[in-house]
Amino acid sequence: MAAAGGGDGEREMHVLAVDDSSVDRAVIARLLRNFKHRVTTVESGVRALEMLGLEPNVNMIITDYWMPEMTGFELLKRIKESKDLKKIPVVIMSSENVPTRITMCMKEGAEDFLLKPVKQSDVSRVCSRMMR
Amino acid sequence: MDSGNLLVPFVFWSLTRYRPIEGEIEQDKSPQIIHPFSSPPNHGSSVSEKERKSREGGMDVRQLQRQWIDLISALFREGFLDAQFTQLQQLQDESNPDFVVEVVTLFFEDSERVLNDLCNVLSQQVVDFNRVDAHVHQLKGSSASIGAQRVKNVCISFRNCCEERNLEG
Repeated sequence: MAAAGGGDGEREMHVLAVDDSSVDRAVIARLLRNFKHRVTTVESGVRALEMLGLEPNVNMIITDYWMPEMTGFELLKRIKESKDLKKIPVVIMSSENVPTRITMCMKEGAEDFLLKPVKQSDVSRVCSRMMR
Repeated sequence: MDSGNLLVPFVFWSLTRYRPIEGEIEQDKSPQIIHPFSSPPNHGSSVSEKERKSREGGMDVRQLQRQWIDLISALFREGFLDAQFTQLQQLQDESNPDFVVEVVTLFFEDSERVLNDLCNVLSQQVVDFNRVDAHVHQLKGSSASIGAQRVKNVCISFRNCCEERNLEG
C-alpha cells in the first residue's frame, strides 16, 4: 500500500532505487527521502525483480544503467514486458552522456534519463512529474 | 593516491562538524557563533564555573568551525572537491547529521576494494585492459558522486591510457 493520502498535495511515493554502487545508492536514497518518499535500495536488476515480485506496489523505479549481470536497460525491458509491472515509471541514470543510449531507453519506455552525478534538481524534476 | 591522503583528514574534520563539545554547550545543538564577551565581565561569585566553561567551549567550537571552513575552501580551491560535494553538504541536516561522513566512508570502502582489484589486474602478466577500464569506470563514478573532482579527473586520464593500451601511462 504505497501512496498514503497526504492532504497537502505531497503524496508519499514508494521508490525502488537500483544501483551497484553503494555510494550512489546512499546519495540517491537521501535525495529521494528529502522529498519525503519511501525508498528501497537494491544493488542489482536481479534483486530488483525479486523485490518487485514480492511487492509490486512501487510508484517509481530509478536505476543505474551500467550494472554487472543485468544493465538498467535490460531491467527496463523486463519491467515493460511484465503485465504487473509495466505501468511503473522507470528512470535511468548514467554517468555517460550517450545520445543513442538515451534514445534507446526512451524508446523502450523509460520515463526520464538522468546524468550522474545526480543532483537535487534532477530528483525534484522527476518526482514532480510522477506526482501529476 | 594524493587525493586519497587529503580526504582522510577531511573526513576527520567532518566528524567535528555538527558535534558541540561534550557537555559544555548548553544551548541548542546546531553550531553557532557564541559571543564569549557579550555578558558582563566576571563579578566574582555571580558568574558560575559552568558559564565560564560554556564560553570557552563556545570559542573552541568557533575555532573548529573556522578551521573546517578553511580546510574545505582549500579543497575546493585546489580542485579536490567540486559542486557535487556542496550538494552532499546541503543534504546534511539535523535528521541526517552524519550524511557526509557516511557517504565518504562508503566511498573509501568501495575505493579500497576497487583499487585492490585494480592492483591485481595490473600485476598480471598479460594485462586485461577491459577489466582495468571497468574498475576505473567504477571509481570514476563514485568519486564524481561525492564531488571528489581530482580523483575523477585522474580516472578520466587513466581510462584514456586504457584505450591506448598504454601500460606505462
